[in-house]
Amino acid sequence: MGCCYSICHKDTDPQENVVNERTHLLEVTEQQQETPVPASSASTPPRKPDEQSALNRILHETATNVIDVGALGPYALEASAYSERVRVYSARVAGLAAAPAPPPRLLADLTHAERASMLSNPPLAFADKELITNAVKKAAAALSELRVKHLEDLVVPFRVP
Amino acid sequence: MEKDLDRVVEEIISTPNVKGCLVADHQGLCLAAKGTAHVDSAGIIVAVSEQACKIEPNLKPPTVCLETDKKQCLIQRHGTITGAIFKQKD
Repeated sequence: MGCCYSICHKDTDPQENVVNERTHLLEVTEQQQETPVPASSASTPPRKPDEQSALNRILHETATNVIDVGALGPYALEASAYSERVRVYSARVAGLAAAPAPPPRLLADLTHAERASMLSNPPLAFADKELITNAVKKAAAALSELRVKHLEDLVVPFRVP
Repeated sequence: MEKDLDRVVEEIISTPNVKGCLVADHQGLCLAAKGTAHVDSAGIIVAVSEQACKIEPNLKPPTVCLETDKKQCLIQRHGTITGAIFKQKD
């Protein structure tokens, strides 16, 4: 009813151009509203200019609502703002540098010189290598000889009456 | 039963400068430990030897030597068992 009412009273509505709760979401042209009207009716004036103006209005609204970033041109910063930012950023960087050192790690990286000297140390002594190799071989041989000896029964009757 | 292994461990630890000896199986179960070698270190020793075998698959078996200024720990794997010897440096 409200919709029909607003359509019927469009011409007399004083707030026609004001956007309110009665405003149409979709623009309805006069021609469509007046259907059914015979196409040959001479009383209906051509509505082409209205369509054109509506289209122009839509274009204009879209242009005002859209920010064309490409057309804005290069972003220019004033010298005072620039120096202010430099000051703020350098203050922040200085604050980060003063942050507490990370906790000591068990395995820390060596410097290149230390690493080179450590890697150039003589390798494991041959006697030590022989010692561990023989020891492990003997242990393996001893383990291969390991046998379970039967000493006593695993299940012992308690002579419960 | 495990007398042979005990005898081998005794023999190893009687070597000069050797302060401890440990033998563990492939799962990190301590089979024998003597001297400064602690039973609880068996798992870590086996894990170290496993990693060494992964790093050096061509060396059969690789020997790991952990060193400090005064002490030395030698680790080697043989088959399913891993042995470790704790030595005092000369």
